[in-house]
Amino acid sequence: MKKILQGLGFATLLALALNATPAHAQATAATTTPAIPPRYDVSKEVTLNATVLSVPAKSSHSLARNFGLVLQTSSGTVQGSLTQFTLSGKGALSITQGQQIQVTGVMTTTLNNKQLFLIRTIQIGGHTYAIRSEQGFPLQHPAGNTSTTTETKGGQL
Amino acid sequence: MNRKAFWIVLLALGLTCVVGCGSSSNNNNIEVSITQPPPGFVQPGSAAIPVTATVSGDSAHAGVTWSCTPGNSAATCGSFTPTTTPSGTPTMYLPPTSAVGAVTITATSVTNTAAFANAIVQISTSGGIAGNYAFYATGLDANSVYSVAGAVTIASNGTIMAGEQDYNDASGVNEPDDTISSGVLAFDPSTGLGTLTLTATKLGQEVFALNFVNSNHALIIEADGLATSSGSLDLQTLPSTLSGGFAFTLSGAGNTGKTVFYGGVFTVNGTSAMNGMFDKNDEGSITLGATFNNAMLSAPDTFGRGTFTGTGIATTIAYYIIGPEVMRIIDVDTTSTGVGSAFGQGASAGNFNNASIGNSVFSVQSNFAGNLYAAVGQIVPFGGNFNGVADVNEEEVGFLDAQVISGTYSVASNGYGNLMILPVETLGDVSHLGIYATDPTLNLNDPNNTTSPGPESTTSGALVVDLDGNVAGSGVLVPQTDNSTASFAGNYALGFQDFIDTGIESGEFDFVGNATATAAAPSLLTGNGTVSDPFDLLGGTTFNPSASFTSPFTPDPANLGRYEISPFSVTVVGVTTPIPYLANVYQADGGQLFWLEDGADGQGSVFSGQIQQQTTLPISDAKKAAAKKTQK
Repeated sequence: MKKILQGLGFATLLALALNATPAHAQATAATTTPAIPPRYDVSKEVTLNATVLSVPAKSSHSLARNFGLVLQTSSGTVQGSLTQFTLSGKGALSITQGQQIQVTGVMTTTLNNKQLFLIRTIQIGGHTYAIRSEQGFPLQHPAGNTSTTTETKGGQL
Repeated sequence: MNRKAFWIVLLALGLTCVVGCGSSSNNNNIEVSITQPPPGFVQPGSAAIPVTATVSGDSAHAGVTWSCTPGNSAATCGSFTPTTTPSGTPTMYLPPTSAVGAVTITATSVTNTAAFANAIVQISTSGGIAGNYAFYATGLDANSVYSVAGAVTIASNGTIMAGEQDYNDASGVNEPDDTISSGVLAFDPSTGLGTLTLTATKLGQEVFALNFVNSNHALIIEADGLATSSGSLDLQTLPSTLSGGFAFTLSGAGNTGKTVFYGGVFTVNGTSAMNGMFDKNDEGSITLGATFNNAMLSAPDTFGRGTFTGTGIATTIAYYIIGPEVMRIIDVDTTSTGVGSAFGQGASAGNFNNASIGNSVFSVQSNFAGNLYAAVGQIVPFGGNFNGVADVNEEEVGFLDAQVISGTYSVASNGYGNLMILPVETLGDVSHLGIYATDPTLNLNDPNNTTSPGPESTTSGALVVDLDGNVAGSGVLVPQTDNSTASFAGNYALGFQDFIDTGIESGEFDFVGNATATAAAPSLLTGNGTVSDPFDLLGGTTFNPSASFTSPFTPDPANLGRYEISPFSVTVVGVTTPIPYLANVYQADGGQLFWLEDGADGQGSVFSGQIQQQTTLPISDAKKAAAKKTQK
């Protein structure tokens, strides 16, 4: 009898334990593809070998937008776009004029019909730093997002 | 860097002058500076405060003599003990016993009276405002996007008697349920401008600059050099029982800095939160219609704080009750941060449909962790469709002004719905908004406001989450009940949150202030306030400089309710060149407007915020005022 009670007690505890989780868990949700085309489409990535023609000027305490990252590639000059974390804050990168770099990203057309190369990864000195996610969102602390190789899903120029 | 380390760095930079200071030298090379200024606001009759001046170049080492204006008397501007001090030795400044307003304290060299320094202090009361107030804000600290929410008990002399708060940046600073032991609310009742200083046991001191819209509600920004953010301070009705349908949004980030937003609906039944249905935008990965049932609410404590568990959104979400239909909510997990609101659905719960949404103004904005953007617009719905106009400013990829928009929307009976701007890309990357309908009688920006929209209102507002793959943000959709240009007039509290990415510098600063709008041509918006700039993006001499503007605004003749402020030139004290902004405004009614930076100004920034009418000045305790009126 005692063993039965113990067994019932264990069964009760087990039942409670099994019930506890579903009682507070969320149901599985549907994940949908956004209706709007991705601005950063990772399948359209290209990799550019480039020389840095110019980098944004150091602090002038002006809020003026400085699209100073101009890259010289074999196909001409490209206006590169970094993120708010790339050159500022903890884990920022250092990019200098004349530097040879390899950038992987996607060329996009802005709302005002300009061409802009959204950079996802930058290879500097044998290290590849990720500055965006594959959805094109900025990544914090890019100096910490490093690897020695990079994979691209598009072509190389 | 934690908050204390950040503070030490700021001190090392010598940013010790937190109020208006000046100094003067003469041809004898004697220079006087006030190295320990008084606080910006001081209660009349409060205890003496140390103020210190330092003299250089005085071979006689004679120190300074202290004086003040107006009147240089104890009654008119205060007194000093002693009246003469050696360099570097504080005098004790005793404020006057009445609220005399601005007082200039002067330290004058004994050796040469041509050398002096000034500091300005506001002698003002808290307008007798007293009671329990809850606050929340979101912004950027030294680590990451952060969230803060809490509640305090304010005595009628402005003293913070007690309180508690939750602070979370999910990047090393997570202080849930932190006791607030002391502090002070001080502001100028004639303008509503002032400060709320809080001392929390674990986090330390925080200072919020604020501007009261009315005695129950203020716009706030953290402005202490440790962090910057925008939010709200609101009177609490305690105790209140939460019950029925709610809509909610949360804006935040994960511990790796990924931006994330949630929005949805749920029902409170006793200690359970059930029928939860929510959407999530996790850095462009969209989840629609996630559900939870039987999430648990703990009972609120004396500050109206309790917790939600079992939502599937975070392990623990703390809440602070504003009233029976309003609460601030904050994710207090160590691995994620987020803050927002939950608003009741009242009698409309279970009865929403497309007709619940009428002419409306919407506003959405990212946080600093994501692709930086803001969008504001207005819509006219008809049968599940809408037409309208909107502005979008995407920091990286451009802007669109007064863009004609149209699309579809739907609202289910539980208030869960969506709004699609079609065809996609009409409004840049903003196309798919989740909308979560609320009680038509609630003012989503001033939750204690019982007159606007008022109890007769039948058109719902909604909380909004941007569910697009390229941008993520949150905001509100509120009924547009008055787009008359004549109604945009009077005294306003206003604020904005500005995300900066110039290419080489990045961060956030926030602004809160007040302004007067004159509707008659030439229409002008004239105001001033405080900027919180701990990242030194503006290059000023302090982390909380004053700012002012006198800017023309022009109604958009093609889109009644829309205005252009051109230029919106903001002069910041200590910054050489005014910020050459352009801005656009959308009017829900004369008391409630939304604005955003116009990307055409070419600045590497995106700001968005609110403009709320101050219906009565001076700001004072409404309850006492009502009591006085009835005493005959």
